[in-house]
Amino acid sequence: MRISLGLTTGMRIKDGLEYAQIAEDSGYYRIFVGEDVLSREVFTYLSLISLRTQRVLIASGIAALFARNVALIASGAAGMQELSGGRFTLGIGIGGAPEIEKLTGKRPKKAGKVLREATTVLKKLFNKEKVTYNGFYVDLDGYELEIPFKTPPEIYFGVRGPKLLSIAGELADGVIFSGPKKYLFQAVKVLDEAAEKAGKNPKEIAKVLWNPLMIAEKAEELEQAKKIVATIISTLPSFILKYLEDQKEQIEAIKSVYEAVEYGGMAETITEASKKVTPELLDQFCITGSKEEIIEAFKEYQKEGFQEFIIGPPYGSEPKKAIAAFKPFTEA
Amino acid sequence: MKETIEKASLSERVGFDYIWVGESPTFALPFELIAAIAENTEKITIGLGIISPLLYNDIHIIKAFQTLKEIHGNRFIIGLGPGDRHHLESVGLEQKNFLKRIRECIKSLKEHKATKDMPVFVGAAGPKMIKLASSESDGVLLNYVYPTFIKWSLKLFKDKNYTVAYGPSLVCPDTKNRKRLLMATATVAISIREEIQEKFGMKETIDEIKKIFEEGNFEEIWKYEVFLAEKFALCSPVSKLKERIKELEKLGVDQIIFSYPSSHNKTSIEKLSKTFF
Repeated sequence: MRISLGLTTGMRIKDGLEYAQIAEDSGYYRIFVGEDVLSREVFTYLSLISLRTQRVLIASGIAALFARNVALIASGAAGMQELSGGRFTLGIGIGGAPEIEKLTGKRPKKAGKVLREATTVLKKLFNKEKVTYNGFYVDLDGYELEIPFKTPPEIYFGVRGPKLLSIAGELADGVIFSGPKKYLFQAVKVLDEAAEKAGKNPKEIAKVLWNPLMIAEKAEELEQAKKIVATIISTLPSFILKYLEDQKEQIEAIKSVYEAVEYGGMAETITEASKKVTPELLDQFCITGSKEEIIEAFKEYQKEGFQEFIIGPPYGSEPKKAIAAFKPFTEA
Repeated sequence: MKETIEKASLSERVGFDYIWVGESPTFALPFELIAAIAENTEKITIGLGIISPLLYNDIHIIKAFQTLKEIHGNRFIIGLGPGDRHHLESVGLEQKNFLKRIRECIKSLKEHKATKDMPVFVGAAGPKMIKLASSESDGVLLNYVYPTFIKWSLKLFKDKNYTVAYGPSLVCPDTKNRKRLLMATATVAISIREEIQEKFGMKETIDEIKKIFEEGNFEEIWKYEVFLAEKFALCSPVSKLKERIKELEKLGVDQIIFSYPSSHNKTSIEKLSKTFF
C-alpha cells in the first residue's frame, strides 16, 4: 500500500517543507503538490520540496494546463525530473474555472481537446522529439526540450467527468481521483473500459485517491472529519452528487446552510452544516476512524483498484502529528 | 543543472556579487534553477536575466518569487525583456506589443505586496526599450560591452539609472574556449536590430556572418574573430581586461556580467576571479 502526502501551493512553503520532511522520514511514497492557481507557482514550490528531500517521489497534483503555455508545462516537468533525479510525476488537469478566468481572462473550454493535445505533445517532448503541432491549445513550431533528464516523467490526470476519464484511460499513466465512493467506483470502471478499448492493460494505470483521510480515535476528531465533508459537499458539481440519490435530502440540507451564509460567518456555517453529515455521507467522502477501521477501508478501495492514498490537507489541528501518525501504514 | 549549481556555489565562494540566470523555453524553468542555486548558496544576489512577459503570466512571476523569498529572503532581481523572437515563435507567440507588456508587468510586480520591494530590471538593446528601462525600472541590462555602444545607449537614457553591461567574456589566452567565444559573440551580433547595425556601419559584416549561420559553414567564422571579439566581447589578457572594465566604469556602468564562455566551467570562473578579486 502506498501512502502519499498532499500539499497545495496555497500553503506556506515553510510549512510545506516541514511536512514534506516528516513525510519522507515517515516512509511516505510520494508528495503531491496541488496548484491553487492564484497562489504560489507550482513548479517553484515543487523545486523547493525536491531540494529538501532525497528519496520520496514528487508530483504535481495537478498543474493547471489552462494557466500556462504547454512549453512551460513541458520545461517545468522536465526540469523537475532533472532536479529531483528522476523522482517526478507530472499531474495535469484543467484547474478551477473561476481562478483560471481571473488569471488569463478566458474561461476554460474544450477541456477534452486540451488534455488530449497536451498529453500527446508532452509525451513526444519527453521522448526528446522536436515537435511541430498547430492545435486548439498547443501551438508549437519546431520546439524541443534541451534538458538532460534521464527517464521521461509519467503523466497523471486529475479529472472527474466520464469524457475526461475516457481520455485518461487512453493516454494517462495514472489518475488522481476524488469524490464519493459510489462515484469513484463507477469512475474507475469508465477509466478501465477506456483503457481496454485503447489496447492498454487497465491495471497499469495508477489509481490514486485524494479524499480526506484522517485517523480519528476520539469523537471530536470525527467532528473535524464531518466539517471537511460538509465543505466538500458544498462545492461538488451536481453530476457527482447524483451518485448519492439516497442521501439527497441531507445533501440539500448541507447546501442550504452554505447558501444562507452571510459574510464573516463561515466557521459557524461549517459547524452547522457538519451536523447534517450522516455516517453514510462521512463514509462516502472520507476514510476515517481508528487505525484498524482505516485498514479495512483501504482494503475496500484496493479491491476496486486504488493503490495509493493521499493524506490531507487538511490534516486536523496538529498537522505534523497527523502526518507522522501514518508511519505504520507506510510500513504495512 | 548539477554543474550549474556547482559553478554558482563556486562563484559565491570566490567573491562574485551576483549570479545571473538566463531563460529559454527549451531549458528548465528559471524558477527551478534559481531555487537550486539559492539552496546551494548563502547570500549572493541571484538575478533572472531575463524572463519574457509575453510567455509568462505576471502572476506566475510574482508567485514564483514570493515562494523563493519566503525561503531564501529578498536576494533576487527580476529581469524582464521581450525574449528571443525565434524562441517565442517556436512556442506559438509573436514578439509584438512587448513594450506595453513589459510596462504592464513592471506595474504588476511593483504593485503586488510580494514583489514590490524586489528590484525589477529590464533588458534593453534598442532605443525604445532603453528609454523605457531607464525611466520605469530599477536597472537597465544592456546587451553590450563595447564602449561605443554603451556611450550611445547611455545617451538614450531618460533618467540616470543603475546600468549593467552584459556580454560574452574570456580571459585570454584561452585556446580551448576561443571557438565558444566566437560563436557566442556571433549570436549576439546577428541578433542586433538592423537599424543599429546600420548606425554603426556593421550591417554588411553582420550580414556575412548571418550567411555563415544560414549555410552552416562555421569554419568561415574565424575570419571575423577580431571584429566579433572587439565589438561584442570582453576578451583580453588580464591587464587589458582590467583596463576595459575601468573604461566601462568610467562611462557609468555599475555592474558587468561576464557571460559565456567565462561561465562555461569552473576553471574559467576561477581564472576570472583571480583577475579581479
